[in-house]
Amino acid sequence: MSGVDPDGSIRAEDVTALYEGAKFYSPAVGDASRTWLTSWVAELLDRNGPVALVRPEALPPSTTAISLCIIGSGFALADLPPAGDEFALAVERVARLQRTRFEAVYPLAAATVSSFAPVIAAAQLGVPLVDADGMGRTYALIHHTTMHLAGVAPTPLVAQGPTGESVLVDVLTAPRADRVLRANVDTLGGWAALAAYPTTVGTLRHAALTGTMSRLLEVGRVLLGGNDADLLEQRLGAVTGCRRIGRGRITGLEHLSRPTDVTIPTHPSSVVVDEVDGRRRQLRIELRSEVVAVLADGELVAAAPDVVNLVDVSRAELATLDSLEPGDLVDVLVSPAGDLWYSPEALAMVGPHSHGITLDHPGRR
Amino acid sequence: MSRHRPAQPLTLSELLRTDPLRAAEVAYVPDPLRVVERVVLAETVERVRRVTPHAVVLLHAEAATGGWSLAAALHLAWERNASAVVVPRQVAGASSAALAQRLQMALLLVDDDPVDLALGLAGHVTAPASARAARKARVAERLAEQATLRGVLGVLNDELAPVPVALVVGGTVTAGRTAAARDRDGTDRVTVPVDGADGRAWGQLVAAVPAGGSETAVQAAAVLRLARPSLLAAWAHSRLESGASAAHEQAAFALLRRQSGQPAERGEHAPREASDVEAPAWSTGLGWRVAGVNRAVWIAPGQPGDEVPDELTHLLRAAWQRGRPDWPLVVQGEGWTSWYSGREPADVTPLRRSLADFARTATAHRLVLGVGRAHEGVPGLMRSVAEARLAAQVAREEGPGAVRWFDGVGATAALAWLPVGDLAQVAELCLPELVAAHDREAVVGAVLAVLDCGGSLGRAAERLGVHRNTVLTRVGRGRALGLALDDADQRLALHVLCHALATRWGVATTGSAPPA
Amino acid sequence: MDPRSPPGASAGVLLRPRGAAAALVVDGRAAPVALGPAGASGPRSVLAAAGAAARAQGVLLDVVTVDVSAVLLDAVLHGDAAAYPTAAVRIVPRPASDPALGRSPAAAVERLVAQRFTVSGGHDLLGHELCPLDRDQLARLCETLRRGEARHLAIVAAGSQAQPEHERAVADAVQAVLPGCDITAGSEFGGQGLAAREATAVLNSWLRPLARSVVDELEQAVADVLPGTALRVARGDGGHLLPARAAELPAAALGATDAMELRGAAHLAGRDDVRLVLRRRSGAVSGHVRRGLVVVRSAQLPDIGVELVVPTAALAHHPGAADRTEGELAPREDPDLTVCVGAATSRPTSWLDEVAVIGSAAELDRVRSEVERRATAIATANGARPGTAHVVDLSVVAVPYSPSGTVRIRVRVAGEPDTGARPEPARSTR
Repeated sequence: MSGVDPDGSIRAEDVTALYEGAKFYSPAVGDASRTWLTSWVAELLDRNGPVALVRPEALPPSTTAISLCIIGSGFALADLPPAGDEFALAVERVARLQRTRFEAVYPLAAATVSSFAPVIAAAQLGVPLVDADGMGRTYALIHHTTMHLAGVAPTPLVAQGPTGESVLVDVLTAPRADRVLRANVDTLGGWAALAAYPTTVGTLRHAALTGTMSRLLEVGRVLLGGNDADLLEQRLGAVTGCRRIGRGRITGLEHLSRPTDVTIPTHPSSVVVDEVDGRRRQLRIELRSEVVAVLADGELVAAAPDVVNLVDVSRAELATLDSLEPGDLVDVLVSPAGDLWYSPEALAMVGPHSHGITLDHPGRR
Repeated sequence: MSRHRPAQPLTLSELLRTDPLRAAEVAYVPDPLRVVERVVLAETVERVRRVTPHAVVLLHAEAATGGWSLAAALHLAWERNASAVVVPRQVAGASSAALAQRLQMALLLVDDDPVDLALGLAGHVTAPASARAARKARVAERLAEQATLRGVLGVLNDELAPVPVALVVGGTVTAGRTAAARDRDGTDRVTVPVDGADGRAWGQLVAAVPAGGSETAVQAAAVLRLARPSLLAAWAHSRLESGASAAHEQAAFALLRRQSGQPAERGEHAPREASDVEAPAWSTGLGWRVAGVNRAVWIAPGQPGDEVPDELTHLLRAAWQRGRPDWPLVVQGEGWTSWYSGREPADVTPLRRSLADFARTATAHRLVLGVGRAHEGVPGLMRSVAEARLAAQVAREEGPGAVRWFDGVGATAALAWLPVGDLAQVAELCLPELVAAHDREAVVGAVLAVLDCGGSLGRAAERLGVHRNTVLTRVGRGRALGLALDDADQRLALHVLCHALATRWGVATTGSAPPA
Repeated sequence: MDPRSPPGASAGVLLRPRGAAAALVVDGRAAPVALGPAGASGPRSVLAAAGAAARAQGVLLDVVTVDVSAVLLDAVLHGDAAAYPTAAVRIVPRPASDPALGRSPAAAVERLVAQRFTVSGGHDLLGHELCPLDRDQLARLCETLRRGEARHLAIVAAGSQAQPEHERAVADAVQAVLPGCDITAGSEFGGQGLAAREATAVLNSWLRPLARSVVDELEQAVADVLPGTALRVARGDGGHLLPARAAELPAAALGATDAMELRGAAHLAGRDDVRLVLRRRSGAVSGHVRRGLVVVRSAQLPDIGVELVVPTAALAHHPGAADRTEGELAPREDPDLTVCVGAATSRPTSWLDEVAVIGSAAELDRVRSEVERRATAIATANGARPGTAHVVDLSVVAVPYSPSGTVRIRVRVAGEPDTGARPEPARSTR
C-alpha cells in the first residue's frame, strides 16, 4: 500500500480513507455523519477536481493561508448538516474583513470531522491545501495549537452556522477566543464552520506540524485494509508510532454508562478493561470528550496529549466510544503526539492536569 | 504479661470493630490481622506517594475525585506497603474493589467526613492500649445483654472474627463454632476455663488463633474472660428455666395421676377402667402423648437414698431427650419417669434403642432403669409407671446401668421395696456388735444363705461355694453377735434384716463373683 | 398461555419474492416444514403447510411470525419506484446549496423520492427553535402537492426528536389539503442524524402501501387456514411486531432476516450468549447474541447504503473461518431454516435512542424512568404481555463537545409474547 498520491492531491476515492483516519485521531466521533459527509465530499471532489495537498516548503512563504475546522458537536452536525456553503463563506468573511484574499487553506486540526473542513473549502475555493495543522489531534479549546504557542493570533475568526448566521470574533488574548465563541456556537445550532488563524505559509513552516494531513490519509488507508488486529496495529505503528498497552475484555463502563453510579452527570465516563494476557492488569480508561488517561492497576501509563485508541479485536477496526459494550475484546493503543506538546508549558495546557487528572504525565517521570 | 512491654499496634480487624470505622463498608480486606501504625489523611494523590509502611490512608478532596484517583491511590498505597485505603463510598465502584483485590490492598468505604474520621482513627492508632480498653468495655456491654449461651457465643465469634470461638462442656462443643475445637495446622488454641455457680469447673471457652501471633492470643484470651459472667448467667438462667419446667411437669403428672384415680403413693384403690378416663387436652399442650398404649420407664439412683440433685435432672433430661425429644422426663420423688406412647403394645424397638443409647449415661451416674408393661390410656400409664418403678428397684441388685423389664419380675419384686436404709439403721441400733465386726459381710452372707435355704447348712454351703464347716462357724459367730436364728419369732425379722444388710453392703449371695 | 391439553407451538415463516421457508418450534425443538415439491407459492400455502405440520405433531399453533423483510427490500431495490410516488419534505433553516447535500447519500433511497421540498424551519438538538416555520413556503408546498401525484409524504425536521411541532404543523397543513395523503414524520422514529432519519422516513412512507397489502394478505390467510393462531411480523432487531404496527411502520421490519438468522442460530445452539459467524456472498460476517437478544445498532443495512434509525443487527466483517476466535459459532444448518427458527422464537421488543440535557442526578433518574416507561409502552404495543416488558439494555453516555449535561440515552425493552386471544387489528398512527 503506497503513501499519499505521488502528485500530492486528495481525490474522491481518498474520502473514505480520510474519514477513517480522522476517527483514529479522535475516537469520539461516531459514524452518524459518515455516509452523507463522505458522499458529499466525494461528489464535490469529482465535480471540482482533486484538491492539491502541498507541504509548506513547496509554497512561497508569503502565500496567505487560513485554517478551517468544524467547531461544536458531531451530534448537532449530523442532525443539521451543512447547506454546503458554510466553509467557503467563513473564509470569505475573514478575507473581506482583512481586505485580502486567502491563497491557501490548512486544517486547524487534522483530526475528526474537522479534517474535512479545509478539504471542502479548498475544493470550493479552488486553492491548495497545506499539509500541516495546528494540533496533530484534537484538543478541546481552539487556542491549544502550535500556532498559538508560536505567537500566531487565532482571531479575527468567523464561525458560520448552518442557519446562515455567522459570528465574527476578535480578541486581545488567544484564550478568550474560545470563551467568546462557545456560547455562540450553541446558539448557531450546535456546530459551525470555523475559519481562524489567518497567517502566511512562511509562518506555518515553523508554527505548524507538517505532514499531518498526509499522515491522516495514510492511517485511514491502513485502517481500511485491516483484516487482523495484530497486523493492523503493526502497520499503524509504522505510520504513527503507536504501541499496544494491552488487550482485554471490557468489564465495566462507569459513571454515566451505569445508571446506579451517577452522581453529577457532567462527570466523565470511565471504561474498565481486564487484560486477558500478559500481566492481567486492570486497565482503566478515563474519557472526557476523548480518552485523557489510561491507568494500569492504578498506575498512569498514558495520558493526554498521547492519542489513545481502542481497537475492536474481532472486527479489526477502531471501536467508537459510544458503542462499547461489556464483554467486548479490545486493544488499547497509544500514539505519541508531536514532541512540542510534552514541554512543561504545553503539558500544563493540554496534559492530564488540564483534564482534572492530577497525576504527572508518565513521559515526565 | 510484663507491664513494661510496649503496647502492640492495633490490627485492622480491631480497628474495624471500633468506632469510627465500625460503620465502614469493607470492599476488600486481604488480611484482617495486618497492623496499623499510623493514619495519613491524603488530600492529593501525590501525598499517597510519600506514605510510610503500615499506614491507613484516608482519601479526600482531590484524591477522592473519582475512580481514577482511587485507582492511582491504591497503586501507590500498594507500592508503599500501606495497610489500608479508606475512601468515601460514592467514589468507589465494582472495578475499585476488583483492583484492590488484585493489588491485595485493603479498601474500606465510608460515609463520614474523612477529616473527622482521620482524627478519630489517629487517636486509636497512637494509643492502642486505650483503644483496646474501650473495645473491651464495649464487648463487655454487648455480652451483658446476652441471656443465652448461643447469644454469648454469637457475640464472641462476631468480635473475634475471623477467629472461631466455642464453648466446650464435657468434651463436646455445646455452642459456638466447632472449628475452634478442631486441631488445625497454623492455629494455636486459647483456652479459658468456665466455672459453674457452685464453683466447680463446668466447661471451657476455646478459640483457635493463628499460630505465632502472641498478641492476638493475649487479646483473644482477654475477650474470652470477659464472657464468663454472662456465661454463668446464661447457665443459671437455663437451670432456672429447666428447674421451673421440671416443677411444672411434676405438677402436671400429679394431676394426671389424680385424674386417673390412682393414688399419689402406693394405696388401696384399684385403677379405673381405661375407657373411663380420657387424655386431657392440656397434656397435648405439654407435648405429652397419653392416649395410646403406654409403656413407662423408671430411672432410679443405684443406691436407694442417693440424692437426686437438680443438676442431675438437667443432665439426664439432656441425655435422655437427645434423640427422643418428645419423650418427657418427669421427676418423681427419688427418681424420674418417662414413657413411650404408641399403637402397638409389642413394638419395643424404639424403647430398646433408647435404652441402649442411654446405657452409658446411666452407668456413669450410677443409675438403674426399670421398664413397665404396655397398658392403654391414662390409667394404663399410671399402672405402667408403677410397674417400671418396681422393676427399677429390682434392677438395683444388678448394679449401676442395669435395666429390668417388669415382665420378668415376680414376687421377689416385693423385696425391692424394702427400705434398705432404714433397716440398716435398725441394725446399727440393735446389733451394734455385728455392724462393727470385721467379718460382718461373711457372717451376714452365711446367715442369709442358711435362712434362704430353709435352715439347711449343706445347701447353704453349696450355694455359697464353701465348706459346711465354714458355714457352721460363721453362723456360730452370728449367734454370738446377736443373730438368734433359732428364735422363731425373730426369724422373719432376721431374714429381712440380713437381706437388707447384704444388699446394703454389697454382699454376694451366691458363689458367683460379687457385684461390681 | 392456553392451558388446553395439546401443547402449544410456534412457527416462523420466511417470505421471499420467489419462494419461502417455514419452521415449527415445539417445546424448544425446531423442525423444518416441508412445503411441497414445487415449493410453496404464496403466503397462504406456506401457512397452510405450517398448520398441517403442527396438526401432524398433535400440537396447537399459538403464533406464527412472518419475516417479510426480503419482500420489502426487493421492492425497494428493484421495484417500480413510481408505483408509490413519494415526496420528501425537509424542514431546515436553509435549503442545501450543494445538490449532493440536498439528496440522500444512498441511491437506493433517493430513487424512491419523486419530489423534494425544503421548508424553512427547524430546532436544535435540545429543542430550541433555530428558524421559525415559513408559512408562505408551507402554503406553496401544499398547493404544489395538491396538484401533483405524490400521495406519500416523508417529513423530517432538524431537531424534531426533541421538538416535533414543525413536523406536525407541516403534516397538518398537508393533510388538510390532501386528506388521503399518507404521512410518515421523522419524529415517529427518534434516533440521530438527519440523513438517517430522512432515509428511514422515506423508506417507511414508500413501503407503506406494499406493507399494508402484504399484511392484509397474511391476516386473511391466517384467518382462513390457521384460525386461532396469532400473527406477528418479524422486526429488524430480532423481535416482532403486531401486524397492524408492521403495516404502519414497515421500516421497522427491514433487516429482519439477518437478525432472525442470528436469533435462530443461537436458539439451535442452545446458547443465550454467543458470537456467530454467518456466511454471506460478500464474505463472512459476525454478529452477537446477548441474553437471548440480538445485539443491534442503528447502522447501515447492507444494500441500502445509508444508516437508518431503526435498530438492526450489528454485523461486522469477519476475517474468515481460519481466524475464528474461541467461543464463536458458525452455524451449519440451512440459513433459511435458521431464519424461520429465529422468527418462531422471537420476542416483542422496542428501542429508543434520544438526547437529553441533565442538570442533576435526580433529573437523570427522572428522564431515565420516563424513557423506560415509553419504551415499555411501545414494547407492549408491539405485542408484549402486559407486565412482562422489562429493560434489557440501558446506556447513558455524555455527548462530547456539547453543552454540559448533554447525554444520549439508549434503552431497549423486551417482553414475553402475548399469544392469548388475537387482538383487534387497530389502525394507529404510531
